[in-house]
Amino acid sequence: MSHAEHTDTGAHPHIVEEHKKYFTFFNVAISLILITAVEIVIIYVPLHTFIVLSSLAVLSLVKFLAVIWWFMHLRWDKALCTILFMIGLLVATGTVTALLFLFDVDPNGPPL
Amino acid sequence: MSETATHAADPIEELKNTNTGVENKKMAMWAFLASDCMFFGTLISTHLIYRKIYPTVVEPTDIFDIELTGFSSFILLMSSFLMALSVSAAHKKNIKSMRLFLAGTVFFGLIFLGGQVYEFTHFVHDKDLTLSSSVFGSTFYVLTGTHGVHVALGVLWLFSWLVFSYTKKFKWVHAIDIETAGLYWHFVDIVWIIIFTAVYLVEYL
Repeated sequence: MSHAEHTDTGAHPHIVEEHKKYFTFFNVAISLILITAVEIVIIYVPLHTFIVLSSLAVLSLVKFLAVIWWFMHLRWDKALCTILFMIGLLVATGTVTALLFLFDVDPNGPPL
Repeated sequence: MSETATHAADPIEELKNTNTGVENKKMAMWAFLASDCMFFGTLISTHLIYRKIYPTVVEPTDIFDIELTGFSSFILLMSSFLMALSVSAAHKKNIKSMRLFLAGTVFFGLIFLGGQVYEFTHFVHDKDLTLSSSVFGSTFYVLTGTHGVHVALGVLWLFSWLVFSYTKKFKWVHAIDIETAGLYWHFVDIVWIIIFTAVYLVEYL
């Protein structure tokens, strides 16, 4: 058994916090599964395309935020990590949005 | 490593003694992930733009198997859950749980990769969708293939930590490395969340 194989079971504050995180992670995981199931079902529901599209966008955003907030520890880490990641995310989102508006469908048909 | 020594000067806490108060490795990983957001942003926008300009080149719903892709999404989400538990176990200095959850993450990652290999093989042989058959094929394979390469690298990275944890060289200060690898793994998961919606689900509307 290596030195690292020692298991710390003391009631150190950060250990207690880690125990609490288990239940948080479990609840997040269950929520993510349910949201994914809803996403798959909703595409077959005969609703207006805009409603379904908006629902899919919101649901995937919720999943995205849940993973970065809880699984990636942004909830417990310093705000600097969130700011750093958000800078990249905002630039990426801005680029995608700008490009989608920049390229439009040609009314004379698609280019060859 | 005695328990007294562990509490007296926790090596994990000492790593936070930086100008930013965040461990350097973690900071570097967040910076990398921010740049990777832009990388995937360009790939996703390329796919969506060509899909918009050439709407009739293929009918993706005839090609996709949403049940398989949904299953792959479930697998990747569960691997993310196991990764979070593995990082938590590393912080609790519970090596058995850390190894178990890490092995589970690697296993689920391999299932995801297996699903992607099956999907690509099915598309190429049964649906005649290749990298050069159409614009859709080109952007689809480049985007999902790049994501698959990220998953494969993540699996290798996590597996190497799993193996390393069995050696005497492994110390609890390496918990930060497990956490950094975990950040990368979760990022791969969030990219899939976007791809699943933007590339697959949207086609069914």
